[in-house]
Amino acid sequence: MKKIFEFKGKLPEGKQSVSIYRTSRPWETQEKLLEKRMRTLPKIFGIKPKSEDHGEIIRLREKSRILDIYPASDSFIYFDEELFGNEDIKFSKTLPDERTAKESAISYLKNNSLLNDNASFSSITYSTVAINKGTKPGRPVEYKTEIHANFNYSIEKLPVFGPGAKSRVSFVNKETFSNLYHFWRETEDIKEKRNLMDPEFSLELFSKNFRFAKLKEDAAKVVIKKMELGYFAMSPSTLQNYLLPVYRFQGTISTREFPKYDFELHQVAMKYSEEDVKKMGVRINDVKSIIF
Amino acid sequence: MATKGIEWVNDYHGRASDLSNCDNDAEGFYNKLSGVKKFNYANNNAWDEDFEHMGVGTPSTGYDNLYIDNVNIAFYAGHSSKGGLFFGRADKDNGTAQPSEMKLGSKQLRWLATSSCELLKHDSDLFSRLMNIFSGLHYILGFHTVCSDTKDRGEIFASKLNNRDRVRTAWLLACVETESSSKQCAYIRADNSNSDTANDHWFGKGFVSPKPINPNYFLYLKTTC
Repeated sequence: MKKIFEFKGKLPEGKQSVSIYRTSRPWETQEKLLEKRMRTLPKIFGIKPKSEDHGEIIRLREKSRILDIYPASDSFIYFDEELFGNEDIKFSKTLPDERTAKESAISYLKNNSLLNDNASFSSITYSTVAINKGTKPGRPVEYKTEIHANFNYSIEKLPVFGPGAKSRVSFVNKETFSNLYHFWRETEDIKEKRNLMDPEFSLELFSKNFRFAKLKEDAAKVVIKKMELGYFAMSPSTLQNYLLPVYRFQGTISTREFPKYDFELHQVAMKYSEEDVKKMGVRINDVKSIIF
Repeated sequence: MATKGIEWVNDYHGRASDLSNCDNDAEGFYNKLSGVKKFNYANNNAWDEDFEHMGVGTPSTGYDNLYIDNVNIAFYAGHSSKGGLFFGRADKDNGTAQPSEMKLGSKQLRWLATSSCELLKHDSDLFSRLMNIFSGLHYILGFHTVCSDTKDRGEIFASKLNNRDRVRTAWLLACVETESSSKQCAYIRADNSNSDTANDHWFGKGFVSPKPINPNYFLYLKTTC
């Protein structure tokens, strides 16, 4: 590695290969499953099954309550547009406590068969609002206006990274949730193991990526703090054929002109052929690099 | 006539690490959103002074009246921090459009969307840092935390604006769809007694608030993606 790199993490150990999971199906099957979701989800959220096709999403609306279904994946988001990203600071007094939010979220998901076996509770977070009245800037006072119970996904004890593998239930009071999303693709183990790139080689490859090529040795520093093995799931509106095995790199970059900033990048972790590039979408999302 | 403009930077010439997807991100927005295309400045043609107001801050050069403040909505993809939008070249002003150098909305601009890290970082100086930018501007949309170098946030945001979502809802949804839950998106909006920016939509897609000239109410929201 060039001198500008410092690796402070630990190389992922213990795995030479990973299972490959397919996330797409023949289009006829996908259409049938979509039809099924179009019947069941509106019932859960009490929305009339009258839909508008917007291309990337199919939208069902009942006054301010909206259900967006993503035909490209098995994902959906339900939200009340009056409460989603809630700005009303009055709700800071009615939010459920963290334990109640977590229990209510799990119970709601379980009761409606929305808690996938691969999902597990990960954290509680908040939406917060700060208001400045008048023309003179004051010190911001933060009000919590929504509480989110977040769920992450994993397969074979490996985390699934990316925007396409997460669920959330958000509340503005004990009875009302402002939004609920389920971003996931049902997976099928195709019973095929693929060899992983050696972590040390991957680290070397990472450091040679064009992103860092112009950083000057006397004026830049890249500190890699963490390197993890997992899978990557793309945005729910994107058709993805397979969950891609990736290494996730987290760290900081500093240059003379742009002081210390964090980065989080993913790099394809399996050895792949030209055929895989086409079949599995290794050049993920048509981007120009195996690092994204 | 609703107008739009974009600026994006992938090539940083060693001033910072290069990025990969800012072209797709910004151009996805540009090509998807209904309206008239006014400019698409990239890499060496994207300059900090395009965002800055003449005579405001230091250095005092600025041509926002010709560029960013000359469209109704502008989209930026590249590096940034709470210190401002960061560009690939430093010989046009100083290479950073600092909040103290921006004064937007006195001409055309209503909404500035920034697909970039930490411009809207919640800190004790949040309002003193950002309030002065608003001179008729309705919103700055962006991130409290770092964000991904993603190719499709702009297109998704535009698609939701076209689909009649409110501006703030469209931004939050686009961020939820393109980031993991470890990231936090944010926006700050301005109002006065005659405006109602909370209910802003894109032109032709619903209510658009009158401009909050001399705003006296600022609301900042951040949330988990």
